[in-house]
Order: sequence, then structure tokens, then C-alpha cells
Amino acid sequence: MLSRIAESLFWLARYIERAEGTARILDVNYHMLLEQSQQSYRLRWEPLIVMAGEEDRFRKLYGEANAANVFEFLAFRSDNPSSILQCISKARENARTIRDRISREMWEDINGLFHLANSFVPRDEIAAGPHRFCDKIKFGAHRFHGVTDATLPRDEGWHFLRVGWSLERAEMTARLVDVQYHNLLDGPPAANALDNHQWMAVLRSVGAYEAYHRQYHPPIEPEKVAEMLILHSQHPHSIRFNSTEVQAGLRAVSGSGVGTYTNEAERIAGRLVERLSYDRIVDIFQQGLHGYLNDVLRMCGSIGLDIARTYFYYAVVA
Amino acid sequence: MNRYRLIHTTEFAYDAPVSESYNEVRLRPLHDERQSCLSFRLTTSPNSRGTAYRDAHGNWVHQFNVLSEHRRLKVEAESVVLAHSAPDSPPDRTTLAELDARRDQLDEEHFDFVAPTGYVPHLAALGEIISLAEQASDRTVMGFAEAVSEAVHARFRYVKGATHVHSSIEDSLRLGAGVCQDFAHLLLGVVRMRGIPGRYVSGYLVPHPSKLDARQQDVIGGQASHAWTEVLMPNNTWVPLDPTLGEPVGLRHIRVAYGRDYGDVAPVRGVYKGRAGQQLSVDVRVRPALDDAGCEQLAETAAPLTTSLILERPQQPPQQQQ
Amino acid sequence: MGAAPTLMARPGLFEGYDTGGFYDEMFRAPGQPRPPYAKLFQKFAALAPSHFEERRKLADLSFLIQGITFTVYSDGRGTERLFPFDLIPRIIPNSEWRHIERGLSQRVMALNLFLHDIYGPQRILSDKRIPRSLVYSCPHFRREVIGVEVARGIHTHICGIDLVRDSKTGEFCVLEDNVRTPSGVSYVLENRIVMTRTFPDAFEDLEVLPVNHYPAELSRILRSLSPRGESEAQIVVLTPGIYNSAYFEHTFLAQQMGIELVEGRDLIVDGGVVYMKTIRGLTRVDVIYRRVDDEFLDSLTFRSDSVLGVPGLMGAYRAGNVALANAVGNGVADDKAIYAYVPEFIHYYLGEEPILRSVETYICAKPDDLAFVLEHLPELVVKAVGESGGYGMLIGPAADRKRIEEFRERIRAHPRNYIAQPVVPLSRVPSYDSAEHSIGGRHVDLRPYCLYDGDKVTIVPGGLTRVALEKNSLVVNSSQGGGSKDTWVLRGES
Repeated sequence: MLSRIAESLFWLARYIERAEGTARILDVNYHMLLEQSQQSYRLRWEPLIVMAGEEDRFRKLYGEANAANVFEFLAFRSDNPSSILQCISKARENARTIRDRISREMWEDINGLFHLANSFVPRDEIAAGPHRFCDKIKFGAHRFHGVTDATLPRDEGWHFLRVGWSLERAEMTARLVDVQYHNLLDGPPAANALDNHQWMAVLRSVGAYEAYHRQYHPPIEPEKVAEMLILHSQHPHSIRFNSTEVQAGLRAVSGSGVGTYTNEAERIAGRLVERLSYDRIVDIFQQGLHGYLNDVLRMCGSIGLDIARTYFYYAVVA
Repeated sequence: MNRYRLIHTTEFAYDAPVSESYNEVRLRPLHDERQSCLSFRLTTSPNSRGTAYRDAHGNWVHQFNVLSEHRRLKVEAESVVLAHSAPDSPPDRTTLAELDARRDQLDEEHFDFVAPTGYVPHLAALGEIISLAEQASDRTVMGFAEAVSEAVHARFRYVKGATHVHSSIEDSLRLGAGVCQDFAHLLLGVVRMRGIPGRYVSGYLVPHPSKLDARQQDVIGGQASHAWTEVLMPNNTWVPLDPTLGEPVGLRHIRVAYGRDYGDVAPVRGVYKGRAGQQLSVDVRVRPALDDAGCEQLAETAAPLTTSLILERPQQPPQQQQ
Repeated sequence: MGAAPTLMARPGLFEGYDTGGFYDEMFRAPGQPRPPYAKLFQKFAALAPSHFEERRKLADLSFLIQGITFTVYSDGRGTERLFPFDLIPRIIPNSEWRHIERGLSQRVMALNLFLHDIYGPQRILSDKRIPRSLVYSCPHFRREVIGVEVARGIHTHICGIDLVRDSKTGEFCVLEDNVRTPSGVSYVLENRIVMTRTFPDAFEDLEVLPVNHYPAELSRILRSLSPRGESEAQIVVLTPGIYNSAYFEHTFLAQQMGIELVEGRDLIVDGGVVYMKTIRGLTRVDVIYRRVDDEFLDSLTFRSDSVLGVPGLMGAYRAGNVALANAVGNGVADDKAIYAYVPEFIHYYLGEEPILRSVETYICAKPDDLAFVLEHLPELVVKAVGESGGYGMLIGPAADRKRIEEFRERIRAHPRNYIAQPVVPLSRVPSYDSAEHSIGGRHVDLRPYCLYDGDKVTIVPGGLTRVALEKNSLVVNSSQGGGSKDTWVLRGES
């Protein structure tokens, strides 16, 4: 497989995932926040921008963080490289460069999603609220996963997709937990009704609300939410689950056996999985959640870099 | 002894690492009835892999690539050349009027050496030199060509750095000055406009051991790289003319390549990847081919074919030209 | 043709159709279809306009969803557009097709021999059958490949030769040759697929010759060029990338042939050998079906600012370590001034009479022709010699005075850059006008795709019919309001 094709698959998956993640977070938080008092308004909107890592850009474009601004910025702005439309557009561009290597169904699906996303009129959607738009994006991304699952041979290309979206998901969840904790726990530690509300939003935004309730009893406790999102071995949005997927995908490409590695990306993925498998949530809080998640993000970053060094831009011995 | 050892060193220094450098050089002296190229060796640092071929003008071209990151690239061409005395040929006495009768045929047969080029456009301003040279000549083609050479030599000042490597004759006409490349282009412009085929010659000028006059020293300035021209006489012989030096072309002119203009014969050109500026230095040394012990070392042609390593960067750096 | 009167009884979609004094390929007179179209006419005439409209929308949607688009550039920004597809097929009678096929084979062989000669011994120049100045002044003549031996002596692996049917004579003649990187064949194949899906009933009772063997034939030819032999041949399609107007076609052909689609940055040359960068290291490449123009192919040899190509590629090509299709330097053969000499090539190299007529051409580089052209600009079509895609063109009768004067200046300044031809009244085929919701006659041309394997020329039956969808327009290029039609060659005569 050409390096460029592997790279395009990797990024196609990441952009799709990023679009979906942003849509989820936007949708859930928006509706949650509409029920909040005015004073906490600004405080609540800011994290969404922080999560996207686009504070500077946002501040340059808008005076304040309010529902309409944040929605427009995260969903539609073409000058926000992380906006949903931009992610979908980049996902499609990546797919377009490899359309001879993915299934026809995958291409037609992502191409359809692109045309659909662009058919929304931002002004109307801002008036209507994000649900309608975000729901379509979420559904579109899910369908793309389904179409891919049903039509793509499980060759190395599939593993690059798998590594791409798992890595993106792990990062998104880590940022979500980090930002929300930082924000919510800055105030008095008591889990009041408002916070409870907010934690529900966090769970919902990764589709883990119901799963949480199956595993834990009410009320919603921040530590348990964190445990679920960081350490759960099976939830498709937990950092641990996704790290395991990244490791499995990398091994499938290289053929490394259990307990061994053939490149830096695999070694770091192995260490990450090991930590997430044996650390307890109490250990994590003891050493500091923010620091822990920062480590996770750094390791994810290194994995991404080394995948590029190993497979996309490597040292050639001619 | 008209036997010379020429060492032509080109060195690029980059202010940041570059990679995937591809280069094409025309540095191997011609080998024909007027000069023998006894040996030629091309070496590069870092080591590189290369191929060689002869272009449409019969020049030797070596191509090589350096894939791995590097901050400097040195290309060294070392050759030993023996210059022969030109074979005696009867002087061509064809007149300009006779040439004019055959002009269509010449245009057709020697299209590339009559047609205007990027460096040598046909400019109305050259008309003045044409009429001047016609008057100064005996109205033969040969006489005209020599008069053009003298006129260019007399009317333009040799000024180092007056023009750059991409300058066309428009620049040197405007400035009234240039370097040997411009002098050669100017002469070609005039004769071609008059319907006489002319070609560009790149090569070396071996400094005269005894009398290094001021002009010559100025022209070569420690560097022996030089350019002049050859003009086609109606009897099908190419007559060399050096409008820069204003002297007959002799055994100290070593030819490396022919072309329509400088663009066809650039000694070194290449492209590389990287975000780096470059500094170029060129050094040409000529000395008698025999060493102190009176022995001559000969080496065979070929760039060493050794394995190179490439270390690519994650982002695609821009491609640049050298 | 005894059936004609009964057909006239139900004109349906074709109600009020006017042949407009042009050669109409479907109708010899209003309401009277020519024999090859008889069955098709019946089917379409029976169709309610609303049904037709429905199927038309279905076809459009199919192209959009599949992303079968091309990119148009204006203001430096690319916009993706559908290449409009007209549902009414164009039929070429079998006997006429056989004639075209013979004519094209002859032409392609002559063009190939010309290229082989001009970059080799240049016999034709020594024999003074074409002026050297005309060849050497051609902007696409590449001195860099003089003396380069190409694999199996093939230069013109893939040619797209544009034919038009002259309304005056009803005869097909050659309008121009495209022997560099002709595009459009993917539309021939996709049009057929979409047509069979949206109008399966139209194919009933008609034996339409298939076109889908094109990729297999192309693949066979490319494989045969491999310097390491066919069994090990690694073949790739080289695309300039997704911003190229024909990008869809590049992916399509790569996929159909089951070979890698690469961009310049995927390839690397080391020591005169071409490799592609895979996740497992470098893999040697033997044959490149390149869809990148000569001047962008190798920044070391050609334009140094090109990032689309592969530096050092020409070295590998020259050394015979990689084969390129089409060969480098082919542009000299489809130069529009050289075009006038193709009949001469056929005489000179093949000793035959041209089977297909060429359009009379005035070469502005010749003083007599120039004078004539300048005097008759309002009656002539003027074309820039090195351009394609309908750019740099003046259609005298349709141009205003300002534009004619503008061209006069341009021609005077650079006569070698221009040729002129009389206006060929192109034949017409009924086509749907989406603005007027009715069917009208529209001008068409035909681009068959010829594959040359060194021995024989293979042509998929038909080719791309391009149609000037705008009323009265003669410009069929996709970039300028053209569309396409499925083109049928029947097994029999009707």
C-alpha cells in the first residue's frame, strides 16, 4: 500500500471522527445549557471552544461566547479548520484522493454526507438550534462506519482507518474529561444539581449515559464518570478501549506479536494500554487528573507522529 | 604543451538541511577533432548515484541525486584535455549578398541556430550593429561576423555582476555592459538577425602563462569559466569568435558544451526539497596536466555509485531550484 | 423505410422538432428517422415528457452521487461540476463505423511513425516533406527527448481523435488530434452504465456493441512496455491530483485496471530507477500511465517550479528503466499547424491515401496563408496551435468586431501560434434542452479513443459524443457548456 494512501485513510478516519465528536458535544451541551441561568452562561460555553483548541481564533472572530456564536463557529465556519463542515470536507478530500482504494459504497456515502452537510443554510440552522444539524452529522458518521464495516476488506487499509478513528476518539474523550473537570471542579466540590446536570451532558455527549446507569447507581458522581470514560474496557468512547484498538490496529499492520513491538508507535501504544489497564481511578485522582490526561494526550500525539515516521515519511534505504 | 588539467568545483551551502536533490551537469569537455578529452572524473559530496547521456547538441550530461539530508553539496569535475591546432580550411569568401540568396534554406536547415530564443530575442536595436558591421566589413560573411565580434567587443563594457544568469540581451543592451555570457548572446543576436546561424559555446579559457593582460585577467578573474560563440560559414564550417576577449579563439579555449544559448549549456542545474536559502560558490582551476614528478594521472569517467540514505521530514517541504 | 409514415403519427417528445438545415443524424426530414434510429425513435416518441424528465433527473443524481464530476477553474478557484449527460443516444451506423475505424487506425500509425522519426533519424526533415522550422518552432516539440528510445517504438499509446460530421457532405472528417493526454474515456464507460440503468428498455431489440473492454486493453498495452518483463511489471497511473479537471477519470482507470493511482510525491527516483513509496518501503515502478503534461513531469528537465512531477524521471526514462505512456514530446504531433501535414505523413510513412478527410487549414506561419487569414477573419475559425479544450479560439462568424480585431493583433504578433480553418457546419443530434423543457437539434462531435500496441490499433466502438448544449453553439468542450451522450455503434445496420 502506498504511504500516501495509508495516510489518507488515517486522516479520513480522524476527520470523520472529529466531525462526529464535535457534533455530539455541541448538541448535548447546547440543550443542557439552554436550561442554565444567564450568569453561568459564559462559563459553560467556553469549554467547548477550549476543547476544540480554537480559543484564539474564536476570540478574534466573536466578541462573546454565546449559543449562536459557538454553534456557528463549531459547525459552519470555513475559517475554523476544526468546524464540522471543514472536517467533513477534509474527510471527503482525503477519500477523494483514494477513491480507487476504498469501496464505491464508502465513497458514495462520504460524498453524499458532504453534499448533505453543505445543503444546510447556517442562518436557518442557527435559528433552529443545533439538534437537527448535529443529528444528521452523527447519523452520517455512524452510517459511514457501518458502510465501511460492511464493504471494506480487512486489509492493512482497514487497520489504518481503525487506528485513525480510535486515536481521534481517545484524544477527544481525554480533552472532554479534562476540560469538564477543570471547569466543574474549580468551584466548590459539592456535586450540586447544576453539576449533576453537566455530568449528564458529558455522558450523553459520548453516548454513555445509559451505559453509566447500567453500571452505577445514581446520583451521578464525577469520579465514576471519569472512571467510565477513561478506564472502561468496553465502552466505544473510553480512552482505554480506544487505546487498545490503536494497539491492535498497529499490530495487525506490522505483524508484531503480543508483548513485542516493531516501532515507537507500537511501544507507546503498549505503554498507554498497560497504564489504562492497571491504573485505578483513585490512583489517577491521587496523582492528579489533569496531569494524567495530559500524559495520555502526549502519548497519543507521539503515536500519531511515529505512525507518520514509520509508514508515511520514513527513512528510505535505496 | 596544450595539455591541461581542469578542476571545476561547484559548492552549494544551504542555511538549513535540504534533501532529494536532483542535479544535471554539463561539465565534461567535448572530444572531437579539435580537442581530446583524455580523462574526466565527476565526484560529489555527499556521495550520489548518477547516470550520463548525450543531449541533442551532442554534449555530455551527467545526472545525479542526493536523497539524504545535507547542508552542503559539492560537485567536482576534473578533466584532462589536449587542445589540437585547428585543421586548416580554406577561408570562406561567400558574400552577404550570396548568403541572402540562400537565406530561406539556411533558416530551414539550421532553425535552432537562427531562431530567436529567450536569452537572444531579435531586437530592433541590434539593427544598428548590423549596418555598422556591414560597413566595416568586406561584405563577406566571414568579414561581417568578425566585424560584429569587434563591434560588440568595442561597444560593450565588461562589468562583473552587471547582469545575472537569467539576463537576456535586452538587459545588456540597456546597460551597455555585461559578462562573457552577454557578449556571446549579443553576437548571436546580431548574426542570427542577419540570417547567419550562430551557436553558444561554454567552456574554459586557460590563462596565458606569460602575458596576462589586464582585460584577460578581468574576464577570467582567477576563474577560467568562459563563454564565446561559433558562427556557421556558408561552406559549413563553424568559425569561433570571442567577442568578450576580442582576440582570436585558439588553443587556450577549451570547449565543454554547445547550445542555442546559455539555457542549453548551464554547467550545473538542479532542484531540491527544503526550506533553505542557498549560497553558491564556483572555483575553476587550470594547470598543466603533468604533476611535479612529470607524470600524468588519468582517471576514468563515472560518478561513484554508492548507496545513499534518505531521511524525510513529516511535512512536504517546497521544492527549490539551484 | 416503409415504416416512416406510421412513425410520424406519434411524434411525442419530438413534436415540432426542426432539423434547421443541418445534417441531422437522427432525422433525414422532420418526423422521418434514418434507419439506424428507427427503433430508438419509436421508444422515445412513445415516452411521456414527464417520464423522460424523471429519468433524466435519475441519471443526473447518479452522476452526482458517484462524484463523476470535473473541475472548472475561474478566479483561481476550482468548482466541481457535473458533465451534463444527454439521455438521447447517438447512433453511428455499423458500416460507417468500420470506415472510421480504418481511417483512425491509419492516422494513429502515421502519427506514431512521425513521432518516432522526428525524435530519431528525422528522415522526413531531410526529405523536406515538412518544414523543419514548423516542427522546431512547435511549443510542444521537446528537444530533450531527441534520440531517446521509447519502449517498443510506441509513442501514441492512447489517442483521442476528434471527428466531426460535415453538414454539407454528411461525411466524417478529422478536426484535431489529441495525442498527449486525451481525457474523456471514463465518460464513455460511465455514460453506458448510467444509460443501461436509466433506460434499459432503449437497448431492447438493438444490438449495441459493448465498450467496457477498454481498461483491459489499455492494461495489456501498458504491461507490454515493462522493462523488466510483463510478469513483474509494476504499473501506475500518475495523476496531478484531485484538483485536476480529469481526476475522476484517473481514479476510474486505475481502479478498472487494478493498478495504483499515484501522485508525483509518491514516486522517487534513485540512480535512474523509479520507485514508489509504500508503507513497507520502496517498490520499483516499471510503467507509468501519466496524466501529467510534459512540462510538469520532471522539474529537473522541464519546468523547475513544477511540484506535480518526479524530479529525475526523465533520466530514468532515457535510460529505459521506466516506460511512459504516452511518450514525452507527443505535443508536436497534435500541434494544430502540424495537423495540416498529417495527410502527408500518411503518404510518406504508409504510402497510402488518407481514409478520413482533414479540414482545410491555413498556417499563419506561411506568409500567403497569413495574408488570406487576416483578410477573411470574420468567416474563419482561428485556433491557437498549442491549446486544447476550446481555449484560445475565435469563431469568426459568431464574434463581434472587437474580438476579431483583438485576434488580428494577436495573429500579427505571433503568426506561428495560429492556424485558421473554414467553419465546419457540425451535424446535429436531438438533445434535451433543460431550459426550454423540449428537445432540439444540437451540434455534436465525436472523440473515439484509439489504443496502439505497436502492431494494431484498437478502438472501442463509438467514443465520446460531445454535444454543445447551448442552442446554436458550436463549442462542445465541457469547460464551455458542453455535455455528452452515450454513443452507440450497432452490430448491424439498424
